[in-house]
Amino acid sequence: MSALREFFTEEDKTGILAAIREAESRTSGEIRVRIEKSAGENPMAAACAAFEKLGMGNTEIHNGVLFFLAIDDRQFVILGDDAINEKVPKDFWEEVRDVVIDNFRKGLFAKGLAEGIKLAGEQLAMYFPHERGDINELPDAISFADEGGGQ
Amino acid sequence: MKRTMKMAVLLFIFLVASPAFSAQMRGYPYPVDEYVNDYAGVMNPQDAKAIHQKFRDLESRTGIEAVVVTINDFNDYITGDTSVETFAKSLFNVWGVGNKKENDGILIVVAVKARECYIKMGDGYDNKYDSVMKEIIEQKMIPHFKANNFSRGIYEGVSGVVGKLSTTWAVIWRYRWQITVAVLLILLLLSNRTTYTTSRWRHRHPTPSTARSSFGGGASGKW
Repeated sequence: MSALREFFTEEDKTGILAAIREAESRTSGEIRVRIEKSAGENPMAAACAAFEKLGMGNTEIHNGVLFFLAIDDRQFVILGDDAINEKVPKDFWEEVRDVVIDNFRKGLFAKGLAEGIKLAGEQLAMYFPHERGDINELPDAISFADEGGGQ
Repeated sequence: MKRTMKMAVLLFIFLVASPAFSAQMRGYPYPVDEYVNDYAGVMNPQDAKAIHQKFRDLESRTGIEAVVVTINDFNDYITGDTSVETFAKSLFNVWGVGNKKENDGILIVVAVKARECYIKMGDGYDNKYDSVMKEIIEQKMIPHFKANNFSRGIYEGVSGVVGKLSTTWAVIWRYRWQITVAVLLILLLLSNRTTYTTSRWRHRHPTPSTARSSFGGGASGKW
């Protein structure tokens, strides 16, 4: 068991995965969670790199959303690809971030993520409804940096 | 005799070969010049040259073709015309003055002996030009004609006509299609540039060195 993986209890992970599964059952968009130790000086850039690493930048319609956590830096980043960004309200990302961080500050990481994922899922479902034949690769939904980048 | 025959044959060939000399000419004079046809022989060379220049400029700027014709009397031609006005109108059509599509030709006919003058405008012109031309005839031409200075009168009249037609709007109107095409091209280029920028950003986005502005969108914060 890696250190990062231990950040979440099994119960936490089940809750997060359930939130992702629930959200993705209604949308063709992709939601992922990425946990890293440190984000370096530029959390946004680190999140972008992770986004790419997970292959989320290759989605055909650019509607992936990444929840990025850097544990040691206490940094959180939410990242949405072009297609979803063009549709959501201007302050949508800030709104999700605030919901997530409010929970994180109380130590409720699983709950924060689940709530953020639910919000993102609602927007995705609105603009990118679920299509027949979509396959959700749930095991990859949470990836840990010390496992070689996931995917 | 033999020589005369040869001439006759040549003339015949010329008549047949020249499209302007088709049955349509019906007694109307054959144009000897693009812009100035001084059949009455009243123009002095300087005025004729100046008119040439003015009409050439007008044509290149606005596409309007204008011709001036002097005759002694419409009765000199066996055309069945009953006035300088009908003579001018018929000659306008026989010669095909102006652009057929725009119908923007101008024909100034001065009948020296008959002491009459008529400016025929193509049907492409608004009726308001009738009074404009009437004013030019009355104020710029007739005073000189009365003094028997036909050359000067015609030159002044031509100056007036060219001045009225060679306006900015006439130039814009002439190039309206080119202008429309140019404007559309510019709009197209501008919109292309926008598309190009968007797509370039899209493909570039998640390189680690680029900050969020080059990405779709997101938010970050510390907890």
